[in-house]
Amino acid sequence: MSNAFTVAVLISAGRHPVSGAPRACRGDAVAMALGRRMAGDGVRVVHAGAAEEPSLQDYLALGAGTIEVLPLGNSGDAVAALASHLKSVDVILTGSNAESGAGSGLLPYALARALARPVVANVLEARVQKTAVEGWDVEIRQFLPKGQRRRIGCALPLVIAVHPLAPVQLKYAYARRVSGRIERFPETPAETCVVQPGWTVETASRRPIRLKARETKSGHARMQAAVVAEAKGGVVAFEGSTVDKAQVMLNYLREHRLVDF
Amino acid sequence: MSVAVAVTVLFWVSVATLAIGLARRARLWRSGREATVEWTGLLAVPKRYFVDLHHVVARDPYIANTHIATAGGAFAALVLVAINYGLGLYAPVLDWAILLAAAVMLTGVYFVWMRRRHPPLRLSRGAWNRLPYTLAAFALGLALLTLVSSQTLSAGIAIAALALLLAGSAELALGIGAGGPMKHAVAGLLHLAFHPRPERFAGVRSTALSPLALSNNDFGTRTPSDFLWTELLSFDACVECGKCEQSCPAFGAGQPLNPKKLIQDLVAGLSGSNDSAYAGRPYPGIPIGSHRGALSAAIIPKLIEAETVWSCTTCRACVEECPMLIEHVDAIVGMRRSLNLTQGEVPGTAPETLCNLRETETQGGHARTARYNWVIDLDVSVAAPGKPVDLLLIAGEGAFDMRYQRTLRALVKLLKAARVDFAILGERERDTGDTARRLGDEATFQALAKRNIETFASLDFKRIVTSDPHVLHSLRNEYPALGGKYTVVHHTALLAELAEQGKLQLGKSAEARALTYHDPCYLGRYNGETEAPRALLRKLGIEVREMQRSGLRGRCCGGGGGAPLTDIPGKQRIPDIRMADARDAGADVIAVACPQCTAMLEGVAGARAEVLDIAELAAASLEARA
Repeated sequence: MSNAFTVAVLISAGRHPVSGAPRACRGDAVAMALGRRMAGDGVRVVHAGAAEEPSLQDYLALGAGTIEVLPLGNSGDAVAALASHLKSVDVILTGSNAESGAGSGLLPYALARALARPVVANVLEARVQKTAVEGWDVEIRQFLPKGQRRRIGCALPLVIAVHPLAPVQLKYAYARRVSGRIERFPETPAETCVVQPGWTVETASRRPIRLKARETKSGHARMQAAVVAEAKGGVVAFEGSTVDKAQVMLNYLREHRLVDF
Repeated sequence: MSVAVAVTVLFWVSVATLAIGLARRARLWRSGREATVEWTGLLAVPKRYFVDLHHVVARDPYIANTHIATAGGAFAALVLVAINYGLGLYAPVLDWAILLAAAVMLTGVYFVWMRRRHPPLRLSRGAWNRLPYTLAAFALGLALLTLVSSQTLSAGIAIAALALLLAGSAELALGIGAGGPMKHAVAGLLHLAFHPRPERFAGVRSTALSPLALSNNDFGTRTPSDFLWTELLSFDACVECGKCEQSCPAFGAGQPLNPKKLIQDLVAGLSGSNDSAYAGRPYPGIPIGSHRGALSAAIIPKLIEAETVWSCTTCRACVEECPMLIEHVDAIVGMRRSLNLTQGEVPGTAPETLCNLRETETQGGHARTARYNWVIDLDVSVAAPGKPVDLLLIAGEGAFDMRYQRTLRALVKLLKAARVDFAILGERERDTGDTARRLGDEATFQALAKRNIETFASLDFKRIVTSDPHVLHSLRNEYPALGGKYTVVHHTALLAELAEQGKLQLGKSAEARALTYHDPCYLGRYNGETEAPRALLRKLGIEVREMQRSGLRGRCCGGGGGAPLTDIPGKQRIPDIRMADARDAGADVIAVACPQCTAMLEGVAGARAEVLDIAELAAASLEARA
């Protein structure tokens, strides 16, 4: 398929949460399926890391075709390597979180900053279309809580972080795993010289828990909050300086005993 | 020209027509994949016909006797005509013999006609309905000519008789070339000679699927020409009797599968035509006439819809019933393999299960360490390298199901009561890959099998016992092709053996309710084990009220072949039908011997018979003794 725009998907090494077996990271696999829907076989699939990573085989089976692998070397700076490799790509798709490594979900933001592009998160569907004037833009359906969805129009180029619930079907075919190719690219010389901390990698014992105020509302109020978007309590601090706004948040956290200072 | 010479000419023209038709049809068959065949199979055809095939046909004595008279008479008549007229002997003695053969054939044809007047729904009509008339024409023509040839024969009668003979001969001679009903005679005999599973004729219950050579990029059956040529030949042997559709649980439940139509569709694909000539019952919910195929065109979805192949429970009831010994399940799994391995097109929750099997080596995505949580208080040893043990207990996927854990605990209690030296596999246990294989995921099956075989090689045991017939089938019948040969026993067989030897002292069961036994397909039809569970129940003092369909001809619970995962909608659920069978037998308890059957039958809503595993009944009798 020849497109006037280019689409690339970033894939990471996934690990099964129970067995720890290497697998395609679910979120990235969903992003790849969305990318294939946007650009067909023309989508580029890029992995920053080792070409020997076993989970890449799963992406081939899920229809990656050819995987471009950027070795990271000592710097380990995936963002810089990806940014220089994907400079000319119009749409970059990523999952929302990696299943191994830091798994912070920051990569799409860091990459967008490095390439000076907008980033759209929690994307369920994206369709590139010709604009009335000239060129292309993307129509995006974005995930919001409580069953709400938002439609966004955005100009190219951009970075899209795909929501794990994007409505795609993953189709695992062994024949594609056999016929797929892994293409190794030379290591890009690191442009930024960052002093690397001496990190040691170990398996996380627990996932971080999100701080949340304890519910003290009645059942009826909770039901209202669940079905009516506006019925949510709380304060929106528009007024005042940044210090005032921070104070409002601190008060809230103290009130709900989420911080103890 | 004398009448006799005319018959000679007609005979040789018919033989030539048949030969040309056979050559044309054979070219179609030979477009299939190369198969290893024993040409000596041709010599074995009479035995295979009179013993193996007739054994199946004789279940319906009416049509068995009818066929003996019709086909026997026709065959005898043809041989005699070949001698007397083909070789130009024109001996009056032989004419009398021909007359006799024709009379026998005509008697048979009368009964064919009788059945065809009000045919059961399972029979195909269409071209098959003209068969009594064309066969009668053949027999009558022969009878007339031989009866009156010695006397003065009026030209009118002679011409009429010849015309009848011509009509009959056309049916016989054109059948194979034009794909008429009589192709079953030629293709059927050749099929018996070159059957894809010749070991069936040696009394072996040949039920294992053959492994795919994945490294040779063999990814299953995409087009009709991807079948073995012997399989293509077997499809042409079909007589459209519909015994398969009558026994098919998916068809009974209104799911879009009819094994007879499936075989006929493959015949249409083989000959590059469509299904409009098919005159039997359709796939439930899919109209006839819109499907077309060609030898080298993809079967799915133009010729056969994907839901059709995903409806199958692989219960092999169709294969068990088929008088022509056609292997429907092999064909279905072949097509599933292509869909799965090349396109990843698998419906329902099956992709999730396959994913779990690849990533956690369990179907439900559980931790392998959790499989034997139910055994924690039973003080059971875990198999380890360098620790010899008599019996290795493999629990299977049922170990994660809380209902089935009751059965497993009962089994462990029984083994302990019999003081058997056994150990569980513990966290070394992986899924056998049986479900993956039935769903066409040969790659996952082979990967799991390879790792399991390595595990077993590191352990020291004499026999494997399992309560899951699916585990039993893959370990006993399918692992040998991949290099793993084990003695595997089902828990019912082991318990019956222990009780027989006196090692297990069973009491009388306190079960006073009427009880029936449901044969798991993978224990009964796949492994021929129908007696041990019944013997065990007898030992417990329980009388089994048999359901109408039981033993080797039992009805499936709907749980096999990944069917609960693909979950193709129908009008009814298969387990509901089975539960109704139990109700008809007047049973208040269904004894089962398989985790799948347990789960499917327990899932039946409303008032129903209680589902109890034989191990649970036996363990309860121990408590009654104590």
